[in-house]
Amino acid sequence: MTGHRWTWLLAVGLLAAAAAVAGLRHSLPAYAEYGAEAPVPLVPSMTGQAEYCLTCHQGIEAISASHPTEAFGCVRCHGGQPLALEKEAAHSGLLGGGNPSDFTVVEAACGGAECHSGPADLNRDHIQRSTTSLQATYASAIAAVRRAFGAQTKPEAHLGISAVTDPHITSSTGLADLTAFSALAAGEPAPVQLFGERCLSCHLQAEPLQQPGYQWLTGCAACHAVTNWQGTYTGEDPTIDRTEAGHAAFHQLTTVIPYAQCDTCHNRGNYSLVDMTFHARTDLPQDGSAGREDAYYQPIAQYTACEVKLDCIDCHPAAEAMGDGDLHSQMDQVQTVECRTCHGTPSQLPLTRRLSADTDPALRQASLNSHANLALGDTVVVSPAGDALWNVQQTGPTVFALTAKVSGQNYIVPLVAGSGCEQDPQEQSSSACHACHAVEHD
Amino acid sequence: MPAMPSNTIDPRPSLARRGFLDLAGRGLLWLIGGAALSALTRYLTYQETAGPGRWLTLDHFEDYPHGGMTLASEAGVAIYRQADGFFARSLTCRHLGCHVQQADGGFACPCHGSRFDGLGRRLAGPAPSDLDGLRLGYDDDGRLVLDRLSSVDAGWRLPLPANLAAEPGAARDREG
Amino acid sequence: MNPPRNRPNFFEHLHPPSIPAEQARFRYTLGLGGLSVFFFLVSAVSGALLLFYYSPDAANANASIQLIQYHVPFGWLVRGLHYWSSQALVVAAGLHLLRVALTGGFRAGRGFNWLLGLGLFLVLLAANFTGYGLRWDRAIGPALLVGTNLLRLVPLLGDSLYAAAVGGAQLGEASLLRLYGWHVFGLMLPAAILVVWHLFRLRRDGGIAHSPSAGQQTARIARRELVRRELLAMLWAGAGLVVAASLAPPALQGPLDPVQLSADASAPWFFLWVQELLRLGDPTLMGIGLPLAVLLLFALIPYGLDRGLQLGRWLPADGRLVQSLVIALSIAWLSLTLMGALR
Repeated sequence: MTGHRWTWLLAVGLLAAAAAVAGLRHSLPAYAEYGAEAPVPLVPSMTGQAEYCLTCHQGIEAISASHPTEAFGCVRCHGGQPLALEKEAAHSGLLGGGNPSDFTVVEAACGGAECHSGPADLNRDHIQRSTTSLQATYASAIAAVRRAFGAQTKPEAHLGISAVTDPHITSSTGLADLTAFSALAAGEPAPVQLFGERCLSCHLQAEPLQQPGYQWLTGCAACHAVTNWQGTYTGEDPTIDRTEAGHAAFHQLTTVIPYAQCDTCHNRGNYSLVDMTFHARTDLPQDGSAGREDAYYQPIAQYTACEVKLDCIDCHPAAEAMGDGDLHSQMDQVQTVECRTCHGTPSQLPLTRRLSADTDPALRQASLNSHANLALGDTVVVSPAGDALWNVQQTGPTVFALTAKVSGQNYIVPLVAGSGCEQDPQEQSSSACHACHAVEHD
Repeated sequence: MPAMPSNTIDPRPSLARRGFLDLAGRGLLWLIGGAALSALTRYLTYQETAGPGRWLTLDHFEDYPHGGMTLASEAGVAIYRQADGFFARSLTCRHLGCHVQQADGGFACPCHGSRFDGLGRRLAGPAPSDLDGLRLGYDDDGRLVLDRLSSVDAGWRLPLPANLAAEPGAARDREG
Repeated sequence: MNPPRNRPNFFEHLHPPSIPAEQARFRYTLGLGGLSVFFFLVSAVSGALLLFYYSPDAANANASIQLIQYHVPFGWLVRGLHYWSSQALVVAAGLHLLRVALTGGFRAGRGFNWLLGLGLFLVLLAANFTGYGLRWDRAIGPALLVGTNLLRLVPLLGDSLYAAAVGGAQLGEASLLRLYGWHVFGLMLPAAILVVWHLFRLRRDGGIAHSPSAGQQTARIARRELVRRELLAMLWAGAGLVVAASLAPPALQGPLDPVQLSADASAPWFFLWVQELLRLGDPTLMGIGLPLAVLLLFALIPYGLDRGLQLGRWLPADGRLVQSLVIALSIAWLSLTLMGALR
């Protein structure tokens, strides 16, 4: 058998072929698909351990100036395997599947006393605030629908999207806990069950609807990672499919949140309790080309000029949108900013606070915005709840200047005191202002 | 051919016509063997390159006394500040790499007895040369930064910031 | 005495000067015993190479394997060869056991060698299991937990076995060092001894089992030819191993976190049959009792279950009892394994 030359040639040839296969695999590693010739190390100063994520994710944008890549790296927030050079292995243990701000993993990814689970008095407890906020718990909608159909008699909320407890209650309307709402729970009336099946798509833990215009990420990224109409990625990372929905437009976090991001959930239409369906607004083109005037609010809304010229975050500060750390039953328990907050009343100037401590949250928030110019000792407007609207500054005895957070435009705030306002000084709610100052939607 | 029992199969052909492998087969085997040996060598000689290593940040330049020598033993260097600037001397003996220690106003190597003066110049012993000079720079906060993989001659100096006529940004000397 | 140029070399001298051609036929032995030796040697050499980079402490074990897999030049190949040669070893050794059982190779005084082989097979399975555990990743957590807890159920010796394997009251970081010690040395030493002894007994017992020749003029194969055949087989097997390592690398997940075990718990493939058995009833019975009973049956094959005399051919007519037993057990093993794999 072994005397035949071809037997040996065949065997050696096979071994040579096998060696060639091995050599090919050596010179064509998986990451070559993305153009890298060699593994790209990154040694963040926080961990001191080399990470090789950039080998494939070349060109990915730096996440934010507050999270410099040289200090944080990638693995500190995203998890995953720093040394691996193949997709499956590298992404093993990834937190939140690419979105570490998803509430199921946010504490592991973003928490810690020096990070986003810090002291409440300095407003550094972002995770506690957002996970208990109404946008996360959806407690008000759930309570209202259940009350409408007799499942509960009082307006106070007992249920939320997921179970959450709050041991430290600081406001008078704060709740101690919420249990998880389930459409299948025994005793829920049929309409409430339908509500649970069809209407729970607009909260921070929900899977977004798979349609253009409704593209947002879960968790903190819902607001802080700006998406486009299609939900596609438009940055430089070659590994991210640019035709796939469900991505932020760039791998970037921002505090400059434009109105369009809020409108991925808000102002999209109305729920009908009659047939328990969501009626999307029909007045907008389906390709996202509608302008600000048309897209901002639904046609039935009543609003003044500043409510369209400015972005939502100019009037609704973090303390309202992210909550005050307590569980609440209704929006008006958290939202206290009204027209008079900035404009004052016929008899009163806006409430203000002087920034005397360098740990004041207003100073920190202003430093994150490139349009802001706030310094220690400045005076800013405060909401009735005591939260500073750092972008509205008192620059003179009767001069208040507003810097728009997104556009950077400066405005002098017209004050009600000393103007021709004919409204009853005791009736100064926002709806009263709208009666005269609402603009026509053409 | 040696004598063998007649019922033995011995397919080995005569030595004149070596039939074990012909040239192609042998060549392939040598190639495969060479490739395997090369792969084995590369496997065994791999060194991790990434890691916090090359640049080491030391203290602020103001913390170093004028005209003096400061021992930064965790960095393995001695830092000198003189009127014409900063310079550093490695505390690694050039003989076989032992860490020299302070002795008699200079340095002495405990391994084979090499002696150096206070500025690292070789005085006695098997060391082939003076203690090596390493490059220094400033970072944005004015701290000294040591380049561990550098080598500069004895006269090299990092000028003091006040000596530079240009703007503060030019004081950085990282990449040289 | 042969002239100097024609003296047998070292490898040839490891073999008898000649063996009957009949028993060396590929169709008879399938070369499985020799293949097993080859795979064992590849495992040993590749394992020794891995020693240069593997770190047996819980904090760094997984990361060190990732270093080998992704950063060390040809580290993926060394690891792949180690993995595939050890899996191929289990397969080859198992098939070799079947072949010997179905050809009556345990007869004619070869009963002790049969026992040696059985013992060697068990040591190899243990080595495979401990090697699997050295990955220290999410996937091995459940396997380690179940495997070590099963040890505890062994009557009388259970707690000692557990302590020897786990190195503490429960699975933890010390267990990795134990696994390492067992895998690299504690099991390799008995394995090496058993391999050598098994091969020695093979020669002492008269070589591969064959029918006694009617006359003395049966054809024989010289040791040189034997070595060449083995070399050929090694070239083929080696090529297969390299291709397997290149195209089907062994898996590796993130580091083991004892707190959260992987959702899809699964035994390594060669223990899937035990996993399926454990679903059926009491763990001591199903996980310890039944396998031990099967082992005992196998051990008794030359010593009570078989009375036949025919040698040198497949499925001899006087060995139906053992053959049916072995084939039935193999089918059972295969079914259980497939059930476990398809779950």
